[in-house]
Amino acid sequence: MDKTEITQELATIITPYTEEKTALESLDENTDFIADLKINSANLVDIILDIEEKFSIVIDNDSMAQMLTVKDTVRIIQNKLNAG
Amino acid sequence: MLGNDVVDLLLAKTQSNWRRKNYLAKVFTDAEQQEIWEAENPDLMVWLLWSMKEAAYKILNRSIEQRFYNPKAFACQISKLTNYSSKGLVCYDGKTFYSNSKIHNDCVHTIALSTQHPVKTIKSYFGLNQANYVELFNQNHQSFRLQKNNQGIPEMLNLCSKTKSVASISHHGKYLFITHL
Repeated sequence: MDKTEITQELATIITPYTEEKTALESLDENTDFIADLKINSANLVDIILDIEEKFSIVIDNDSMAQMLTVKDTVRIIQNKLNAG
Repeated sequence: MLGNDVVDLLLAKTQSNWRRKNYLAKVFTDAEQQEIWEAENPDLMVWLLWSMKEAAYKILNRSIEQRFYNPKAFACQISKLTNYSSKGLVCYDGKTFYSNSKIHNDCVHTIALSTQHPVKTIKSYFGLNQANYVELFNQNHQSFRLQKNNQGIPEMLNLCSKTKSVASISHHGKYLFITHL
């Protein structure tokens, strides 16, 4: 899976957790989950769990700690997919 | 240094399903999970512990000037719990934060401190979460000015003494809390 495909899947996962539709439509690698999409911090866990289910990967706590932007999240998903 | 966090319990109920598989294990230590399942009100315990973690994270985030998302690494110990309040410690990477929480009908509010500061000297303002809350606060408190410093961090300027202190703002759902030393 390339970066574009992962980003598209990620956008679908994020959709139910944000009301910032404009930020979602213009989502790119610099989009920040909290600053731009105003995602509630308790819902970031849901996004991590959805990612684990969708991509069949396990996100450890050290990786989770870095997952605040689209760019870092896509990088971590890609690394986990390649490692698997 | 201080940090504060509020959880609107009614909103949390619809916004988050903490009973979802693996949710608790991602956020809470084994001891915290046990505390949740043994609690009289597990929903309240989830959000009490969550607000302790968030309030402590806000202090750390300011002092190290770095953002990260690792709630499980903030280990909470509740030393006192009544129907209306709670006290405890939050430990992260060898650092200890002191937490004081108030439990209201439909919200939980925690103030965390990096030192054992007497909690009575902390000023805490409660209001409704509206877009213009800074303006409203400043209109209603003539001797204070809530503002952001160069790094975008909230601070409270005391217009009488001309002193500045660290402020922490938290809003969720209907609720807004502004705290300062």
